[in-house]
Amino acid sequence: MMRTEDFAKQIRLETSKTLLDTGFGHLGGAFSIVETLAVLYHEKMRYDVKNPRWDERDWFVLSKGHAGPSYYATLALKGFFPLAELKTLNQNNTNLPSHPDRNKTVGVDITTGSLGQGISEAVGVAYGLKYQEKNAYVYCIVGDGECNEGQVWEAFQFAVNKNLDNLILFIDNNKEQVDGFTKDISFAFDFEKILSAFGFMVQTVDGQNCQAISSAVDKAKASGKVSAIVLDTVKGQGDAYFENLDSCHHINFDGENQKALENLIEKLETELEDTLCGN
Amino acid sequence: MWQLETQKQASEMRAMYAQVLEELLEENEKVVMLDADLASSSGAGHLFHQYPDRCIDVGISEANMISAGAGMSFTGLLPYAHTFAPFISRRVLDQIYMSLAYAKGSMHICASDPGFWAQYNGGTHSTFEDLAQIKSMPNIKVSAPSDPITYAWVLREYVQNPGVYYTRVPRKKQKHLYTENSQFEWGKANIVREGKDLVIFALGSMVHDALEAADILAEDGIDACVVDFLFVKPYDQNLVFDCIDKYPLIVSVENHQKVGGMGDLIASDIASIPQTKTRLVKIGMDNRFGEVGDVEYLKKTYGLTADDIVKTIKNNL
Repeated sequence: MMRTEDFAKQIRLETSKTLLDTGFGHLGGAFSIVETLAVLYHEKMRYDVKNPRWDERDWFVLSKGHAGPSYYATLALKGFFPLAELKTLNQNNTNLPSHPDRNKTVGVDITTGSLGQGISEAVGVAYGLKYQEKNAYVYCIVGDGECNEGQVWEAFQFAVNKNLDNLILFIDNNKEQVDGFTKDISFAFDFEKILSAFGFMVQTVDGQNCQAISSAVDKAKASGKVSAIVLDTVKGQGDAYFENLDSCHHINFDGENQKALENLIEKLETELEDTLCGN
Repeated sequence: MWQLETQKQASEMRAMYAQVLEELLEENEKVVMLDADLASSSGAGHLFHQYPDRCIDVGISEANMISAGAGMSFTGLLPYAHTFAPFISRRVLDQIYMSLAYAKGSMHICASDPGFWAQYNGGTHSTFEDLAQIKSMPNIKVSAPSDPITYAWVLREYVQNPGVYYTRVPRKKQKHLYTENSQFEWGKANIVREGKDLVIFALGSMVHDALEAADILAEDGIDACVVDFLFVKPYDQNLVFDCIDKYPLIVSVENHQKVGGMGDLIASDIASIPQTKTRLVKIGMDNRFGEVGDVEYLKKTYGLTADDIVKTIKNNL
């Protein structure tokens, strides 16, 4: 079986190819969750690509819906739909809109995009599954910038009050939002402190480290508590050029940006080829 | 089929909400009830103790109630959600839009005390624009029941045909307009009084005021037809078209802004008929906010009493 780290490389590669084809898109936030997506879809989640709405499946909610491109790459790599379909991102009549849509994309459980709502939908799903005695987990990724939205904190209250131990919340703490750093624009939350105060069992991990994320998920499940995993990440994660851009939330891929993305694709292809050849 | 009630009786709409929800919770294990810290005002507060896992008070967090309820619906549950009309319409429009209507979730949204029924809660809690906002979204069924019998039917309809429903009703006592076993058809208005001189399309509790106005007009030999509009989306467009040219005057009466309400639906239909001589007069809130007061005072202040309807009709016939 492929290593999770290599699956993460595949996700980043397919995401990059998609964005290069499209010519623009939400690279920063899509890259910062690649390793988490890899751990969830490669190791942790129970799903059936032939029966995407399988009653016994685990659910995934991308509350920070703008990270759609890496989510789609993950689903395609796992076989929910053909890889070739990634080229249709944001094209007319596509099944892959900028933000995830449960009625368009095979494998997408919950429609998101208007920030703050995804985590609420996730706690509702978790409650519904628990009430119906389904032994399934709900994994939800919320952006740190998204935590500006009041609704997020409403959902956190609900999660803890209803003891949703089948919910595993991830905070993608990449420290940036569209207009700049969260510390300058809004608020740089100490997520460990604030979520602990809410009553979550909180772990903070390096969001670039698949093994650390994987262990944290196991620990969260074993705790039997409402759990949050704070992912210490960087916007544009996985490529020094994009990590160091002033803003890579949504960018056009022309000039230097295009060149950087082409270089990244070449680098990832070579690395994956070497891995496959056993070098 | 429905029949008009001949006995004089009235009962609380909130009591009907509690009765129907209790029956549904008993009949269907997928039914859940949500409230945002107004369960005790909904009439169904006791059910939250009776069914602690299925009656969920989310606290004062309406946005979360809508989106979490949508999430529950994706797992197969059938949520009813109640709070006062302003907090479950204009406060959560985007949640209704994205989590429910766009995503094809399901929920029966029960908006209580719209318009002047906010009474002592005043202008901040008054909701005269919800129909304009909600009915502009695709994939939502909108209704304004006129009595406890229509309310019960509308509440039950959701379990038969799940989707996104928005229902606005007062919590207080309303006269029974229909007999207990009456059946209705979604999108079909009811002619509750025949008449040949003009037609009044009335919505929600205003049907009772329209009927009172028709009685007063009859004393002066004016024969008004009264329609319980009942369903705002989809609405009974066929009946509206039948009335155009049949009557010289159509009057719309609603506890809502004139802009974007039932009257505007009728206006669009009239405008689509070339050379019709039928005129429309809209009675509703005239681009103003609500205020504090009792129902009688507020109706007088806003020009929504039976006498106001009579006066407007006489001025326009």
